[in-house]
Amino acid sequence: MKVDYTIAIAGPPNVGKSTLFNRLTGGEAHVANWPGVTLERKEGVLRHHDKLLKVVDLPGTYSLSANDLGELIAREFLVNERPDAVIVVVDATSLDRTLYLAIMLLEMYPKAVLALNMADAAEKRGIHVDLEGLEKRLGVPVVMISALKGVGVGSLLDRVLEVAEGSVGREEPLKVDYDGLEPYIAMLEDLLGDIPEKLGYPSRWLAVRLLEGDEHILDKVNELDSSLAHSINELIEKAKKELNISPDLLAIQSRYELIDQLVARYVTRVKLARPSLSEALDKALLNPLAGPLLATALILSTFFIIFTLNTGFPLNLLFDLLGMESIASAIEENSLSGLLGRLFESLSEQVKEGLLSSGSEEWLALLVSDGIIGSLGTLISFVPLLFFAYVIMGAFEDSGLFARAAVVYDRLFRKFGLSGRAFFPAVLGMGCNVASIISTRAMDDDRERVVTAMASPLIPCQARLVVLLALAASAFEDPLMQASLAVGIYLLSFIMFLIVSDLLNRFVFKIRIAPDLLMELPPYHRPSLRVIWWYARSNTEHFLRKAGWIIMALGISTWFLLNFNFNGYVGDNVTASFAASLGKALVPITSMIGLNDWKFALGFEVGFIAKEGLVVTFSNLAGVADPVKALRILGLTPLKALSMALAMNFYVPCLATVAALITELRRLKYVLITVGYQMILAFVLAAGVYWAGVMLGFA
Amino acid sequence: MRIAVLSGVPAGSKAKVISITAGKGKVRRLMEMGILPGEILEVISNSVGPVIVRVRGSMVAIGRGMASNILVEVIGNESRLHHSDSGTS
Ligand SMILES: Nc1nc2c(ncn2[C@@H]2O[C@H](COP(=O)(O)OP(=O)(O)O)[C@@H](O)[C@H]2O)c(=O)[nH]1
Repeated sequence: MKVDYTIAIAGPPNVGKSTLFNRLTGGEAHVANWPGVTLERKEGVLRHHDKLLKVVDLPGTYSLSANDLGELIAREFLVNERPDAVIVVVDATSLDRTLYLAIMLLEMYPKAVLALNMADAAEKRGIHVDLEGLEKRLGVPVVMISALKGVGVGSLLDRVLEVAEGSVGREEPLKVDYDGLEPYIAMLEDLLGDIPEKLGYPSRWLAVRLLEGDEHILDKVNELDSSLAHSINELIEKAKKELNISPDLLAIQSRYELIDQLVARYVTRVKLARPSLSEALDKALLNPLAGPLLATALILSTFFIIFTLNTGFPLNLLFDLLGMESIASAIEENSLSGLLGRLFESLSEQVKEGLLSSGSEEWLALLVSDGIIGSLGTLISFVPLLFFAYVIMGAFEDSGLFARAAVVYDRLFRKFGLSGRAFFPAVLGMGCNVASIISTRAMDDDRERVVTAMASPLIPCQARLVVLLALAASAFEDPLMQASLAVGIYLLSFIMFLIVSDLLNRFVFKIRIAPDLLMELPPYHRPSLRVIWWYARSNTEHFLRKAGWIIMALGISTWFLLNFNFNGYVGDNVTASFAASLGKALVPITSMIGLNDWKFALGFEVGFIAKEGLVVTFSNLAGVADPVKALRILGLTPLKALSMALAMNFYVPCLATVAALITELRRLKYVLITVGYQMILAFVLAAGVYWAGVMLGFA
Repeated sequence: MRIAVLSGVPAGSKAKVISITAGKGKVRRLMEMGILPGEILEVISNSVGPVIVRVRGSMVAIGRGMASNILVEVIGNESRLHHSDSGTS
């Protein structure tokens, strides 16, 4: 398959760039990282009029000044890979701000098409744009589209092809009138000679960037010809002194002046509709008292729904409390993890019988039925947990609610050296820690990102919820007590998340000040199902591709540990297996938290693969399917259950989480610190509670 | 006319940016988001957390620390201005 043209999509955040990318590629994206950084690079292909186009999604940035990594990547991509056309996406309802990036891009790269997105919203608000006029003035095709509704995308692609083929568009980059800066630009251009050409940047653009104090560009020039450094600096200093205003301010002002002219000339508003509902919502959500409560209530109630769908909790407990046990157990059985669990159980049973009756050896049959199909079951059982978490999070993100939540939680988080931006990953962690670690990518402060990723595994994910519920049910008959235990662990986890973040900030990074919050609050709108579907699907797929093989491989290795020793297959006699020996070796440690049985230690080993493995192991060891009964058979007293709940909740996140930490943090040190502090925390909490309980006579 | 820092301007007022004092990168980011000298901001919410302003039609949340580095001229609602609020919390 030969690609005819490479097309890049650029645009500031929140203008619908990802929506357009998904619309163009049908959500089929190849996700990789930009070289050397963990910023996602999404690529896809599409066919238009017999031409095969490769589409690259550039990072969403406010400018191309190399203020941050995203800006630098977008800029260097244009210079180095010279796409055949760039689609610059802006928001038609907010042109006076979003055109900034478009202007900057056109100054640097002429082969572009300007896509005015959100045509539907613009129409509703009575915003009309003179496309022809704007097109003439800017010299590049201008198309009105709605990425969400799919309107205008065909003609956008027509114009993209025209630009790629070279039949329309600019030859030269756009010239902005920089007013007082002009003489210095001219002098710099003279001074630079053929350097811009050698570096691949337009000469005027390079001169302006130098005057604006762009260090990345200055370094590049110096690398090529260091003899100029002195005269360049002299010129910049001269400009600063003579202009009485800093050149970068003047440059930014000039761009905005051009934008204001464009808007005044080509944009008309026939009516002024103020979104009053959105203002009322903001009044409530941004209120310092009501806001956090509202945001919390909203998030809790949606997790109530995800949890119930996935595990039955907490709706089953509610019915239990009301004395309707049969409804409660029906909910539990029909939850997704219940259904999938039974499905894989019967599948593995049938495969085992089939293999045994066709004469294969016992260990081989078990390897296939338990080892392989069992691990596959673990992997598959992740999918709904993860998928639903992403669906809900996608809806929140898409509606604009999360940005508000970040604002109202900022104050609390700052006390622990984080900003409100850490709120999203923390909440996502309740769905799945892998998802929360990956989501820290969106944070632009590096230290905050790493700290959040390191602390977020403390938030109990849904797999831990499953174990927690089994432990609670085995420890207490009273559903109210069961619910209190579960809720208590969640509360403790969030508190620990904040405390550990603070400690990491202080002792690992030695910075206590939270990064400043600066973020746009996108307007509220009804979440689009399509956007949510794209979001949830691509993220779930991404996880499966990335962590899938690790989970399979470790699941199968664990099976070997459980079923083999140096003499080969151990059959029914688990006590003789490698895993049991390992468990026995760990008993001295687990005894300190009250769990003086190698079977519990073994459970913790398996729980590392995936936390729900804990209950599976106990079921296997006790020989009953119901984990609650199994735990009772193994002699778990309420106090021991509490100790185990704490240890289970806080000790090393699962394998997939460790894998995500490795790929996202890229520093072994941080991964080791994370694993280490979790082990210690789990041990200290569990031991503390256990021995306090023993002294108080609860043993 | 009254000069104040953005974190001391009550909600409902309009304020014109005079100058921004902060690290180079931060100032640039603010300016490129449209918050630059000469621009008029509408303060939407300002109580304890980040200050929320409308600038060029969009809402932007600015951390209190950063907002206290933005010097503005208050255009409306002068009477409600906090006199000594330096904005740091
Ligand atoms: N009304 C409307 N909303 C859109 C359109 N395109 C995207 N959106 C919404 O705008 C928000 C931002 O979109 P997204 O693609 O995530 O923006 P990005 O940050 O530029 O990638 C999302 O909530 C989208 O659903 C459109 O054409 N019309």
